[in-house]
Amino acid sequence: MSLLLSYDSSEFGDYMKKLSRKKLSRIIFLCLIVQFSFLPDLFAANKILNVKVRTAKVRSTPKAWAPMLAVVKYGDSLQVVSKEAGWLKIALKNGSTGYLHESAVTTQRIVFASRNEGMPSFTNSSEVVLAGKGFNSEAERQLAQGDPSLNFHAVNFLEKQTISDAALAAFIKAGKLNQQG
Amino acid sequence: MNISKSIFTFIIAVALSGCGSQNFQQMGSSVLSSTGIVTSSQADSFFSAGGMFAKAANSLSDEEEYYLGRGVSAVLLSRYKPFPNRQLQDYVSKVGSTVVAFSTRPEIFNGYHFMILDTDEVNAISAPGGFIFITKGFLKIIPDEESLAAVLAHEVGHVALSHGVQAISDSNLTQALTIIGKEAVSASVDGVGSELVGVFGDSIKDVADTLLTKGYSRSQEYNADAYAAEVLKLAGYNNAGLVTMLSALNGHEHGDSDSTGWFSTHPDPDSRISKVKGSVNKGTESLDGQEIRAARYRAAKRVLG
Repeated sequence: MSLLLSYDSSEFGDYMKKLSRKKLSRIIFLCLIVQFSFLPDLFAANKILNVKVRTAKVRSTPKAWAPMLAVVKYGDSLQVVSKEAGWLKIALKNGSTGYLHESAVTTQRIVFASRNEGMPSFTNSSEVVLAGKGFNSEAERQLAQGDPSLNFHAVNFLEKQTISDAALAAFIKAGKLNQQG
Repeated sequence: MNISKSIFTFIIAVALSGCGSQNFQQMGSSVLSSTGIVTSSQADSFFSAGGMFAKAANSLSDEEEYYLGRGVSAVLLSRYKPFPNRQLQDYVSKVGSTVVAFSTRPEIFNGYHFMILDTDEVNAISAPGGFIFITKGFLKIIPDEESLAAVLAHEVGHVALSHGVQAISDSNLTQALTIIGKEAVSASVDGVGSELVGVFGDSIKDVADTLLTKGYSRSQEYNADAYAAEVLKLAGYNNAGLVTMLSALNGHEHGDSDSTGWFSTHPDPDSRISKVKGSVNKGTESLDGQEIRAARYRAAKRVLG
């Protein structure tokens, strides 16, 4: 890749034209390896991942309604022990392990703006999640003020419509659906 | 330029454009066109396509998607009221939660929430952030729990595949990311500027417009159907319920009240059936539990008359 970064376009063009197809294929393959090595790798054990949802339950088995062992919250950093079909086995503070679905976490760092003084600038915004920035509760409050027709009161009611783990487990069992998760 | 050269060139473009910076893309485009494989305008178009892979990484966070979804839901709920029956509402939430449990995105910023809308229009809508709505009118024509699960799995598919967020116009998304980026370096970390509130409101309008009027693209709809077929199977449902549901839509006589409903925002049910029938259960016999599920659906639905 460094070859590409310090280039003179016409010389490089000549160089590319002289390369055999096989050599060129190898160069491209190496470029892709470098490229993809920077992609998030959720499969590596001992990887640290960060919670990107408000709260999530760490469970005793890899099942969405399995008994809860612990609750993690937005911004928490977790150590991954292993991965199994979308579920991460993570290390808990008491030394045991539990399961959390990969959709709850990210490789990006979660930075809470209000806790930082003189927040460093991030030129690559794919490295971090700026918690509480952008579309947030304050933007919603101001939007609602400007447009009273928006029914956020009903949205708050909607968010109260939840099903407990126990109720879900019973529903799945009674309907003879997949109880294994 | 033949096909293999096109593919070869595109691979170079993806490999080189991953860094995402515009300068690098311009440089890469010059490098590529200097090889003589492609013209400079062809090189530019390959790089703008390759750059989209980098753009996907610089999109909204789960938290921002949640607030976007709250805004879209607030638009929807300014037009429709919730159907006021606790038992039927709980039943729909349970079927929805079952489907979510077997999806690729069971965790979302503040959880999934399901609601029945009190209207005879036939429609089901999912806003970003996991807010999923189905109308009383749709429930009236759905014959069984397998079909209801199919509808909800399709909507969860739109959320899991981020179709709602993709409905934000490029200009609004770019503007939002730029403003957020500027805020990150400013000394003030509290408060929200009117510029951001403006683009927030416009983004909500983009998504609401897609959900209620324009509809998703055909390929997004077919992808959500394919997603649903898979999730239903994992959950233990007979995923032929997807075909049953689409057939029920086909058979429904719709009037003018459906002009902003399902029929104006989705491809023709026949075309969707032909796309998905290869991946659904072809057996005529019921799966274990299907009769039990059909019975509990009939019991829950009695309140609709």
